[in-house]
Amino acid sequence: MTPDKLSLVFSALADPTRRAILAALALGPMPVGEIAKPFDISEPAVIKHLKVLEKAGLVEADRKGQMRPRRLNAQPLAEASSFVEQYRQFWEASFDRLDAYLQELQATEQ
Amino acid sequence: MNYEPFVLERTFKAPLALVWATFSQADHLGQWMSPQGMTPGRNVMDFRPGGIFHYEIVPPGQSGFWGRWLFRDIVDQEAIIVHVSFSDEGAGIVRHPMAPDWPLEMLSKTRFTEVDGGTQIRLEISAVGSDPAQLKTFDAGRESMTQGWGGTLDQLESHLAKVQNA
Repeated sequence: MTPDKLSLVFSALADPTRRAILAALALGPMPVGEIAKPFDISEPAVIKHLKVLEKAGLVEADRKGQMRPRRLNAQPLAEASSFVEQYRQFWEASFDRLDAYLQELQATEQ
Repeated sequence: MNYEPFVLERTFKAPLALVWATFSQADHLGQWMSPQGMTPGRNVMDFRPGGIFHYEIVPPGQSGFWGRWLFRDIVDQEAIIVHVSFSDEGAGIVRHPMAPDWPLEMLSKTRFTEVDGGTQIRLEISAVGSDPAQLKTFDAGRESMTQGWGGTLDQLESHLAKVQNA
């Protein structure tokens, strides 16, 4: 994924409504009317959110047109997730090495 | 958006003074604080508030990249507070190579506490600065780390499992 694409994914995911839309689409493709139902916002507002998600590559429309069913594309989600997961993995792996290193240091002291 | 830090805790079976040394001396840091499979390269350590730890990390068969800690506060055997960033050879700050909207600097607070049988470390990482794009990016990242984007990935996983079993 290019840096620009990753930034689009992150900014798309930064909004709780858009994350909820993705969670709903994880269950299967849905027309816009269905997607909008659980939210206390208008359909045009949902379409705006969908456009942000589409630009980030997270959502695709089955055919052309604003009201067509949308489906989730999980690939960018997985890539962005692995990007931030690297931070946790980096520190957990470093702490594992520190643990072993501290044992080694104490063993040589004795 | 709440801009909470990402938190990691670990207890090490070693006395506080020794754990403190492994976090504050460059030779010790090089032994454990580098990504898997990469080796520590050149470094300059100036361990005092306002000083920097400028270090190179070398992936196998490639040229190294640089990181920088700017020490904001040091409380002996209690806390180390640093601004962490990617860096260049001249110790300047550079953007994350893969994510231009990732915060330029991260605030990292490490607290050291003597506990029964060892030393507890509490690491808190948060975004530095007030750039809204960077704060939002960090927040999305932190939520992903702590709860997998509100269960989106969990739901996706179970959905994919169902589809594959059908």
